[in-house]
Amino acid sequence: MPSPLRNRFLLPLMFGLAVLSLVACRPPEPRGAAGNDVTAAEAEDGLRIRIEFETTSVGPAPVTVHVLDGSQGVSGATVELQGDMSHAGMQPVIVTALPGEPGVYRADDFAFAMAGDWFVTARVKTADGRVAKHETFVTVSGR
Amino acid sequence: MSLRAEARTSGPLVDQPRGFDLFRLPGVRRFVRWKYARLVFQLPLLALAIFVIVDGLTGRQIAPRNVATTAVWLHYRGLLVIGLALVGNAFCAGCPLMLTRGLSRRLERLLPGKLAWPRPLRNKWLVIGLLVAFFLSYEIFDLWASPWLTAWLAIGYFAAALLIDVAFPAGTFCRYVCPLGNFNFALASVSPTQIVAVDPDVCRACEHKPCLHGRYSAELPMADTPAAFIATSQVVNANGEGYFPGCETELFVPTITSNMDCTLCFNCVRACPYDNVGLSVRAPGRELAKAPWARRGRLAVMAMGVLLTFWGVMNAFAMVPAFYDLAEWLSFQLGTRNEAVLLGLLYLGATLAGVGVTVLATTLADVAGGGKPSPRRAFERWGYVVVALGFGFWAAHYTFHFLTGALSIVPVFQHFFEYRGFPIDPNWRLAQLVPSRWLFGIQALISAAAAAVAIVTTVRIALRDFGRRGVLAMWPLLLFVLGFTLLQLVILAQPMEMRGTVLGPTF
Repeated sequence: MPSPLRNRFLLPLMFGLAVLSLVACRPPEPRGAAGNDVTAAEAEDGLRIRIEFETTSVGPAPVTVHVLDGSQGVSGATVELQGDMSHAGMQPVIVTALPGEPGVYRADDFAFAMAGDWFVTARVKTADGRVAKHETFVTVSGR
Repeated sequence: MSLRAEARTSGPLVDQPRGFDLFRLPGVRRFVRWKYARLVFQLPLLALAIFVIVDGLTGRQIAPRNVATTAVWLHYRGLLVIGLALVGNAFCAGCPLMLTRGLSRRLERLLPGKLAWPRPLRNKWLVIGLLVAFFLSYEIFDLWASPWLTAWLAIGYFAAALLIDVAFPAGTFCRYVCPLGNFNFALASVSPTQIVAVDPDVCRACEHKPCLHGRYSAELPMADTPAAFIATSQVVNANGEGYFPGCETELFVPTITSNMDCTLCFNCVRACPYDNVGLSVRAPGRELAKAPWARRGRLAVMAMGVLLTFWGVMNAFAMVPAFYDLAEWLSFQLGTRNEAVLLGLLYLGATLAGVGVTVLATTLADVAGGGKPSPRRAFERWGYVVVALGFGFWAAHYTFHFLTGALSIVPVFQHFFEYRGFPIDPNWRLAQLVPSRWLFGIQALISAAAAAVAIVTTVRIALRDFGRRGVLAMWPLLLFVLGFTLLQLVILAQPMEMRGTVLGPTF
């Protein structure tokens, strides 16, 4: 038979441990904002992705995505761009970037619908089946 | 109520709506009388709260892709105002915080007894303080952009409900502490339903008032029950045995004139041994012209309702460019970029300006009606008009956000599982519920509906309290309604900017 002491403290103890274990698992924060028209790059699945914004003001904002394998541009990939605001619930901007020169993909129809903080995700799938994703953060000016 | 009315021995104790009783819909009364009916509403919200806490603490810290920020700041708030407008205080009805009761009863045993809630706090002033702290925290800490803090907010709510429930009588948290619940109470004054006594004469003859104090029922008589014992055989449409708690916020059904403090928990429905409690349909805002808060909190309750209106204006205004210009100007003038200082001053300014204009308009109305200038009396008389307008502003604002992103709950939940290794590809194209071009029209419609309620309330109060001179008394308030509605439409028509861009990005 469990002791009264155990009965009394078991539930709060379990609750406390559950909370602490959740807290200990705090996920990493998103990376800091990129400068407005500057982009970051990262390696994933052997690929490097670079995102360039023509402008970071509200309205049409053509985006160029560079997909590199080492120093070589990757042709024939599918590149999708998604722009989300830092606030939940806004309709994301989702467009497909079209290929130009080898490794260069351009989305002329990308647009920032609202001023504020955005993060833009480029999802790349190469012809040989490799996938990579890169996110960058921008502050969009309304004025 | 006049002495003559109090002396009546039959008929209603107070003026309650006599509309269609929603419990007469097939199966509804039987369901609501069921002992575990509330649990049916609470469990889905508890499940959602668990998702909020788990994803908020362990998921990706990107607001539009996290259940915490999306479900709390988009869906909860949107569905809250839609529920209030169409049904009533539905979210208090399903409040999962009350599911801490089991744990609180265990912890209660560690204490010698319940404490009495301090008398100076038995009003809404503490709630007003917590509400302003909440709104300022929302802006200063960018709660809307932080899944982590949103999850902690939810945990804090559960902890606060648990602690207060352990130490103080049931209902204390709901009535005197919970900012969300009191937000709902104030705005539910516009809701189209109200708890009523089906037959007031039954209530007159009721000895134990179980709807208020609870009852204990069983087949055979028992001693030492936690409430009045009523044998199951004496219960009309008996709904089981055991303890049926009464109203924890101390509302007595036949005297209810307002939704203030009513959590729609339906304890009264289950506890009534005569099955004599109904949920009447009424005209939206019906109670506003009947001065119901004069009997329940007076100035503090009215202050809460009116302040919520102007904090609602600020909450929306903080998303348009003019606000950022104002914040920049203030920042330059004061030589500080401390957000807490700037936001505190802006909220203080809006509060003083809002209350000032309200007191001016209401006092002018009293004077025009031939009354003596008494700002407090005027504020308590006419403040209901401002509450109706406040409902319109909150409803228009939150409905906008809900409609722009309601469907995003699907990919956000898909992402919850994808992030944890499930082979799911979230469909991020799901977001808007209606085309963007409809949004302002919907907001304008909500604003106009609230203005109509406010105008009807103004006219009724004027004619009720000033007779023929009411025609003069109503004008300052009618002009106030017009001005407020125009301001509302101007703010809602502005191009929206997301918070956090003036004094630095949110990430």
